[in-house]
Amino acid sequence: MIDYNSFYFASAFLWFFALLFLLLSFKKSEKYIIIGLVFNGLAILVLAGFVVYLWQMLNRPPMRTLGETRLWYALFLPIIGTVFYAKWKYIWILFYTILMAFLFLTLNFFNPDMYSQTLMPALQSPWFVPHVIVYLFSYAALGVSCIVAIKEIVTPSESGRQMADNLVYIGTAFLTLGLLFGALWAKEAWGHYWTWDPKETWAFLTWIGYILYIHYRFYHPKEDQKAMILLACAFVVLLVCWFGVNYLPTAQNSVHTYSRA
Amino acid sequence: MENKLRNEGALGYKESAIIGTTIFLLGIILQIVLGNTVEINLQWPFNLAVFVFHILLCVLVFVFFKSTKTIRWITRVPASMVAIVLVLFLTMLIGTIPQVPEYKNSVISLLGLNKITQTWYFLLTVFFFSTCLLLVSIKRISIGIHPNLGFLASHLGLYIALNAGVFGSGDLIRYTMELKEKKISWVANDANNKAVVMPIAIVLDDFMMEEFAPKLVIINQKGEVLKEKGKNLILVKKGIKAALENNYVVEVMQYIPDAVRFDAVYRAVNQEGATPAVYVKVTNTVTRFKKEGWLASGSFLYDQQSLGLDKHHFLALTKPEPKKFSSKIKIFTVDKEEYATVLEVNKPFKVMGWNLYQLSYDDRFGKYSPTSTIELVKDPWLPVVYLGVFMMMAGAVYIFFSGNLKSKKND
Repeated sequence: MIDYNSFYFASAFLWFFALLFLLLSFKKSEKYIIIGLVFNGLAILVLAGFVVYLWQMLNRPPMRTLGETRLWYALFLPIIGTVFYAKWKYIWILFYTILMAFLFLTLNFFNPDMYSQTLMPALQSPWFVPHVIVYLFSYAALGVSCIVAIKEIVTPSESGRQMADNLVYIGTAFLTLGLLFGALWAKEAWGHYWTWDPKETWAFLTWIGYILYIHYRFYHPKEDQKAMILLACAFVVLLVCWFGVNYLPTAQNSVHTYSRA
Repeated sequence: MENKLRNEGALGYKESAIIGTTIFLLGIILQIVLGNTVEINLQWPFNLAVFVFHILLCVLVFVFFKSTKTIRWITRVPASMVAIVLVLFLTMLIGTIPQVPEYKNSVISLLGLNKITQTWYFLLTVFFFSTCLLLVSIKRISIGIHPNLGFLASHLGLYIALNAGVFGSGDLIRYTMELKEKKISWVANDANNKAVVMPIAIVLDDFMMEEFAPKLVIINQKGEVLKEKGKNLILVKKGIKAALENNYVVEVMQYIPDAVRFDAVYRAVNQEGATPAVYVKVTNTVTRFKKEGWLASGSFLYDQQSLGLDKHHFLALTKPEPKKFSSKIKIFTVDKEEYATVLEVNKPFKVMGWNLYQLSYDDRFGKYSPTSTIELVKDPWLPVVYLGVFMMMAGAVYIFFSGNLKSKKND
């Protein structure tokens, strides 16, 4: 029996204290930030431990269902948040990533998967793990870039824009790798690297969206506001690719719709 | 200086947008007048000729006309942006309108919106997009290869992958072949179910399938599975105890993967059509209900057996899901060569330029399927596509590091 809730509670509990100490740091000394970061680190470890445990219990990579991808997202977001905090010293990025991880765990709590150990033969490939991990890491980086963009639209700053670019470069690099890994895998599994499957199409659209942003930034380094609006919109396309595709009229025959059982 | 270079004599966004729209509208008109572009499916060596011609033309045009307004425009970001937006727009249509061979709506079929990749506006857009890619690459090469390695890896890589894919589609062949156990087959079917004689003959020695164990579920009278979220779907195993919906607890006393029913009892047999069976004890933690009995998944020979729990609910055993299926085959080529291999999903086999894939089987019979369907694919342009793909991967790694470098410089 897989007892996921106790892991969720443990992570949520630790993150609650992380947030508390981060809030305290505004009033009291900066030492509290360190304590907050320690709690955040512990929460990440607990969640990582859960992913490993789930992997063992299911006897397959826990990457098949939508809920399982949300779990990885909740793991990667605070990691990216911590790294970018270390680099840019924005405390709010910690708040944002922790709260988002919180939200994703809550979604999984109220909307849990049916945990099943079966894995269809097409997914049993050495490409499965790198394809999904690279993608979800990219989604997490680009998710953070979206909130940075929104913050920049409201209160513009030079370093914020640099951070946004930084996140986009990392996210787009991983997005490109995820897309290409998928193509190489598809050739092995289905005999062709590109079949305009709805998920493929939307993944390509997502990629094109960020490529558009990079080109715009390159040519118009001064048009910050427009670039940030473009960046925020690109994430909407990403969300359609991740969750929305299942609801589109084109989805009926997709090989990528997350199985529901 | 940089700004001057950017604006002087070069066309801006307005002109780019007008040109982009013109290309698109021209494509629409051609589409309405001429219909789909399937007919111009270029094959070897004509596709290579056009591919090389495009490259040569772009090089020559760049060498002789690089200072003209048009070439300066097409090698700048506004033109690239328009090309990207056009691709974005068309891809969005592909991702939203179902791409099917026949469509009832006459406007959609008139404009080819149900087969966008075979339309003139798609062709023209791809042409514009890849011409932009190639010309900016040539421009960077003329400036210097070394400082532009990252740029060239991503841009030229995309150009190569995209065009090798587009031009190569004319030479791409995909056939299916149905193999029967112990029989020899050398005739495949194309996409229109037309028979084609292959240069290889294949004998299916054995079709093999491993299955996951079946799962215990509660179903209602209509046969629908009760799925309460957050519960584990447990694969049966001897001795496990599983909590199911509605407070039922099931203990598996016996599990026989291949069983046949003799009167009231299931016994292990080694026979085609045998079904998985379990002997279970069911209790209900609330109602104190107690029952035990046999459950069977059923097969093409035997019925499913379930256990009544109450008026509306039954305990049932699902049909096992495939874990792995493969075909043990022997291949004989016209060159009198012989190969023996096992084809499996995700593990194709290459012979005489053909890739053989395990595709499907007769799912009415599951693991007892007497046939196995394989796919035969010939894609001679694949190495070129992969060259482009690997260049793009290098470009992605470059972006990862250069993005960091850039922001560090600004620190």
